[in-house]
Amino acid sequence: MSPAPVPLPPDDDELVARLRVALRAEADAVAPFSGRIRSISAIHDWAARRRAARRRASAAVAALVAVALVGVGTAALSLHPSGSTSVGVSAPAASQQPFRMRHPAPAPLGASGSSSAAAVPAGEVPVGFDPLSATFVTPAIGYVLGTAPCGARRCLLLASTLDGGSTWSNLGDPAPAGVTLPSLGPLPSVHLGVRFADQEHGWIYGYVGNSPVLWWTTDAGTTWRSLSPAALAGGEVAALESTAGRAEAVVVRAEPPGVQMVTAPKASAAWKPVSAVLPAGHTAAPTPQLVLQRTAGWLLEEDPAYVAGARLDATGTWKSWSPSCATSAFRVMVAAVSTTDVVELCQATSSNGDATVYQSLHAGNAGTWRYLTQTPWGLDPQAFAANRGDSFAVAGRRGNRAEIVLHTPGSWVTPAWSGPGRVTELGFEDPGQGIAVVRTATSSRMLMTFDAGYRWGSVDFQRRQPGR
Amino acid sequence: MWGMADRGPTALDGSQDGPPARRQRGRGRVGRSLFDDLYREERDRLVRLAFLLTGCQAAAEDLVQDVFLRTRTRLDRVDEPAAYLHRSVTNACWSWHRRRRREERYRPDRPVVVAGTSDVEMWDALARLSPRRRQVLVLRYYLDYSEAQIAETLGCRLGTVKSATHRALADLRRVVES
Repeated sequence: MSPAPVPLPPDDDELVARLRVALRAEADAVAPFSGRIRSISAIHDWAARRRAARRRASAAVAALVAVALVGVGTAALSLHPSGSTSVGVSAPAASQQPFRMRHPAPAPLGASGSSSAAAVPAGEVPVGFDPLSATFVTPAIGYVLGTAPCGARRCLLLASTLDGGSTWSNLGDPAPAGVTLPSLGPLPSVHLGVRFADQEHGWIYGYVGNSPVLWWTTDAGTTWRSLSPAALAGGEVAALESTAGRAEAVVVRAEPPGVQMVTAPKASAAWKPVSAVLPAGHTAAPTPQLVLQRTAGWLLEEDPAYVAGARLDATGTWKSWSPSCATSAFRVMVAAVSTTDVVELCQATSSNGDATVYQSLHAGNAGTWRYLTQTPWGLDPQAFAANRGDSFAVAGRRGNRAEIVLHTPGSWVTPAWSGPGRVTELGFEDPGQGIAVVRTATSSRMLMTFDAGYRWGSVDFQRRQPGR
Repeated sequence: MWGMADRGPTALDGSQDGPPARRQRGRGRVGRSLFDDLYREERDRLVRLAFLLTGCQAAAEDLVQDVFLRTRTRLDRVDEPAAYLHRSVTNACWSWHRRRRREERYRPDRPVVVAGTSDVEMWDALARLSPRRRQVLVLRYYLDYSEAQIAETLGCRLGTVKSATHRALADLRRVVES
């Protein structure tokens, strides 16, 4: 029996009665189903796909075990002096000894490279997993694309979390059936990103060697399709982001030279070019930046002598737009604060470090920029992400180390993180939770923050994390 | 062990159809259909509870969805899945507050979300309480949990719940009267 409630002092009765009424009124005012909660079938679909992935992984492991046992059996037969078939009991003998393949070595890839979906079976994330790109669709649900050892090579691997990064599971090699990639060599030769519009719909984009990649999933990463839409016209997807139920991608073309925006609904493979076409700069490989914030977006194309921009407005139209320091004398990075405002980071190309940060006031109206701050001296910025209007993180190099610093109103937290390598991705899923991917020449790691960027810690994909 | 066998949360819509935690679901019996039942029966209640604990409907809905996803395979191992879900949502809301604590230190004016109450003053006062005290009041005066149940849900001692309730009411009174 539960104990009887402790009686309240009489003068609290009125307060408590009023509190009860207020609580019930507030609860009743909550819309019972606003659409943010997905249907129950979405949960079941997710679970079914997970089970199917595990079944496929088990089948793959069983096949590998069978191949191994046949090999052992054949070897035993060939070694037995009598050649008696009785030696063939090696298979049952093996089955008597539990054969546990915690991180089974996958079958060698094709001669030209990787593509077997069974190359890295689903299950636990293997030791040696190097993250390349990460994305979260809610603070709890995230995906990380990376590479992992498979035999003497490395294979692609997609990992996911349902608990904000506390635990990770391996969804297997996302390479679609029949797709062959060049051998995944050192990390710098792999330029792949992953983005999801929601729990189910996502894309992997980029290139490996000279092979462009655009893959699409509609089942939470269980199966992937390779896309070659005409809209790409032979170009490479240099950046892709998703918002408002669709994907926006930046395609860099060599012939005719230029940067083309293409878009597709999340549930469709019908990519279409949009009107904004930025002229090519003076190098063959411009470095576009694409930033989306709900219905708004910003695109920057930058090379050493040229800066051009476009802005996605609420009507879904890309229009010409320029940052305040759009000259060849500056390197520019932008980060979205809201659907109307961005912060921009302008670094003089002659500078070896530090940069000036400006905040837009009603972006889109020319000249409405205000000085915000100067980045810490000596930090050469490489990535930039805002988590609120007046708080943002800058990742850069200081000497031969990477550093993440956080700007809060009136001060810098420096360094919030420091270590070897180069920060290739930096972003915030919500004002408190952020991710960063750090690469060195031979390995990479993923960092997460749960306190708005004050502290960053490495994610251990094999062990349970302290949690959010 | 989720010890709410003798008294579970009152139906939030005011009906007297019995608290969900009292429905006995034996171990291993929460299959797909029972999970569906739980989802349909508890989702809205849990969203309302999460909203009262966070003050943000969007966060409440995300948290509840995440709890259902996370606990889906665990529900068949608990005696009272509904109580387990209530506790999971309460803990998820606590984590949500914890993650925002540092951020809110730098935000001078904490937003007060008013969803439609006529008693703005009371809601404002509730929003200014610390997350723990707010939790105690919501569990005590919205879900009608006993102090023992609150202690078990929050993983603290009975005395802690009593003092937290007392202090929360004192805070509430101070804010309302000011």
